[in-house]
This record gives sequence, C-alpha cells and structure tokens, in this order.
Amino acid sequence: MDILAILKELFAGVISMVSVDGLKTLAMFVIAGVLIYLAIKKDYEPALLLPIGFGAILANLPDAVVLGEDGFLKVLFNAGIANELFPILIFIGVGAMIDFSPLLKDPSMIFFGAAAQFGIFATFLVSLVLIPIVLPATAGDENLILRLASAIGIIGAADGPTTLYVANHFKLVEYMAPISVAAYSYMSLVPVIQPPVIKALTTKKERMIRMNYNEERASKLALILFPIIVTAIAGIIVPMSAPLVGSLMFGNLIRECGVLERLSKTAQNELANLVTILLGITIGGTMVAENFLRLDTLLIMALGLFAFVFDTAGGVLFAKLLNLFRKEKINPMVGAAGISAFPMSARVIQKLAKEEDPYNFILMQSISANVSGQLGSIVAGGMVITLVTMMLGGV
Amino acid sequence: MMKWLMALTESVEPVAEVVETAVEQTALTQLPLFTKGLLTTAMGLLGVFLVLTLFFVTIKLMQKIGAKESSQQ
Repeated sequence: MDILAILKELFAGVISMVSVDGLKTLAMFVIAGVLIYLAIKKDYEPALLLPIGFGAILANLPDAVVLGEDGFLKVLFNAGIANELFPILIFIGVGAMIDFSPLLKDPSMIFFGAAAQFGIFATFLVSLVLIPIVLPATAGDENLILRLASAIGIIGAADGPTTLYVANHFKLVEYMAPISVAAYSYMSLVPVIQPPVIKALTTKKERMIRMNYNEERASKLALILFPIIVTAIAGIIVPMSAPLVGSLMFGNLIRECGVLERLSKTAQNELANLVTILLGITIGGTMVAENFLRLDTLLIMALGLFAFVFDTAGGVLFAKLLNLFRKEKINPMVGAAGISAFPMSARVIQKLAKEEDPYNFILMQSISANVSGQLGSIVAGGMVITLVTMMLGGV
Repeated sequence: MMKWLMALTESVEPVAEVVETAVEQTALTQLPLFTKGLLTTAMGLLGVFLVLTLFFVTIKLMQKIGAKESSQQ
C-alpha cells in the first residue's frame, strides 16, 4: 500500500498527463513547439519566439515548479514585468540602436509615426463592442472592458514593450499571456502581414514612386539635443509616456553623445540581449494552459491582428492622402513603416520597393517613418493610459 | 484673528479640491461606454498628432539653427 502511494507520488506528473489537464498540457506543448519551429525554421524573430516557446513548455510542466512561490519564472515575472522594468530596459537598448539622423534630415516622415497609430484606436473601439459579446463574463464590467480594449489596441503598434507596459499598468495579469504573445508574434510576422495589406491598398505605379534622399548626416548637436527635447516634450504633455520615452531617449543619448561608446555598445548588445532572453522566457512562463486555452485568447489574437492590419493601412492611406496635396510624391508604402517594429518594417518596405523596381531605394525614408512609429506608439500608449484612467476615475 | 483665518482657509481648501475632483470624475466616468471610447479615440489621436507635430517643429528649428551656424562659418 505504502509502495503504491510512493509510486503515485513519484509519478504524479505522468499520471496527470492522462487527464483533461494532461491534454491541455499537450496542447500547450504543441503551441510552444510551433513558436520554436517558427523561430528556428522560419527565422521569425528567433530571439523572442524561441525563449517564449521554451518558457511555455516550462510553465506547463506538471506541478510547474518554475511558477511556484520561489520558482525562477515567478521571480523573473515579479522582478521584470510586474514592475515594468524589462520593457524599460529593453527600450534603453533599442534607443542605443536607433539612428535618428534620417528623420532629422526629413522630419515630414514623423507624421507617419502618428498616422500609423490609427489602428490602435480603431481596434480599441471595435474591442469595446466585441468584448462584451464574445466574452459574456465581462458584460457589465465597464472597467475591465475598457482596460482590456486598451491593451488589445496597443498590440497594433507592433511594439512589445509598450504593449506590456499598458497591459501591466491596467493590471491585466490574467490576460498578459495572450496579449504579449499576440504582440510579439505579430511583430515577428511583419514580413507576412504587411505586404498583402500594402499591395491591396496601392497600385504598382504608386509602389514604384521614387523619393529623393539627402545623404548628408544630421549635425552632432541636433542628434544630441533631439533625445533631450523629445523627452521633455513627451514628459510634459503625456507624463505617462515618460518612463518609455525617457529610457528610449536615454539609450539614444548614450549613443549620440560620442563619449560613451562602451556604454552604447553594452546597451545595444549585452543589455538588449540579456533582457530579451529574460523577457522572452518570462512571457512564455505566463502561457499557462488554464490562462491561455480560452476564448479570450482567440479574441485577443484576432483583434491584435486587426489592429496590426489597420495600423499598416492607416499609414499607407495617410501617405496617399498627403500625395493629393504634394508636388513631390511620397511612395505610400513608406507610410506602412510608421508602425513600431524597428527596423523590420522598414526592411520589408524596401524589399517590396525593390520587387517593383530594382533601382528604387526608399530604405532611409522607411527608417525615418519607422523610428517615428517607435515614438508614436509610445506616445499613443501614454495617451491611452492617461485617457482611460480618466474615464475610469483611476485604476 | 489672523491665525483663525489661516486655520479656516487651510481647513476649507482641501475640501474644495476634493469636491472639484469628484465632480470631474463623475462627469467622465458616468458617460456611456462607447462615448468613453469615442472620446478616448479622438483625444488620443489628437494627442499623438500634437506631440509628433511638436517634435516636427523642434527638428525644423534645429535645422534652421544648424543652417545659420554653417552659413556663419
């Protein structure tokens, strides 16, 4: 009898696999496997998808020791996501990687960074309608609907750290897994999602438009002043965006000041890589079957895709609108780079331009729109937090 | 007398503040859900365009200063 009890205790994990929970665990293993496959075989943002996939496997092991009180994924979650530290550290690294020079040479591209946030707000509105219908449990809970709609909308910015920041600010711990997985997987699927949307909204002639670019680099003083002024403006007008804008611009200032080359390289490489590893595996750790295998996940994934598509469309349509009034036409594909997936989106746009005309070079304009998108998505995140908090009378 | 007036003002001020905040919160929080959404959308987009327009103006100003400096040199 005792031996049986000991065996039962010893093989509790194996026994649990032949139950409903076991099937859920297997389903999560398959999902994690798909993420790892996409990372290794398809090379879609492997630095993110692989740790997320592996984290999901760890989190769904029977008994999930890694998620216990002292489990390392739980510790990492509390240390880096629950207090918004990882998104902020990531932004220091991203800031150190960004060269604002092309934008400083052609500042008109900055408006694409604003136009491409259209999808965030469109999705926010659609979510307000759909959430109570698809998830009847939320009906009547306006507070939850507004908070959830905000976090879902931000997925469209293709900006993982900002999405995490907003979701965390609104204390959506229960929804963190699908929201972050949607944000990061769509970010990595930019080469798959954006081209069909762009092609559907533009003609071949429009995609072949060439744009002039001034090769001259922006002055050093401008490059140093820009991050400082941007932080001040954003911090004064949208204080909620200050942590993200501040860290992004701090990283950029380290890069541009010219006297901190070692720190700049550390921020671009060691810091960004370390935090990416920890962030990825921690997000994967939130993908516990009972929180993930739900209708909410499907809704969040679907609305996240909608947001992403509408952000891309917003940028393209805005460029087409500007072309009605401009003598020197803009290639409308550049507008699609106004999302925040830097620098992938800009590369995708350049690739599309080359497909139509092998001698068309619009990479620098796309990069300008892309870095503007980075700024735009942070400001949009800050605006959403501020406004929704006001509508709720506090969070 | 002065002390009494000061004490009176001190005790009144915070109350007035609380009442004002409560009224503001009520006005917004009592709106229908979709109106809240529309307001957030309109103000949000406006805010994003406003902030990025300010960035644009800043860059333009920096470009002008840079051009002036180089022509002086």
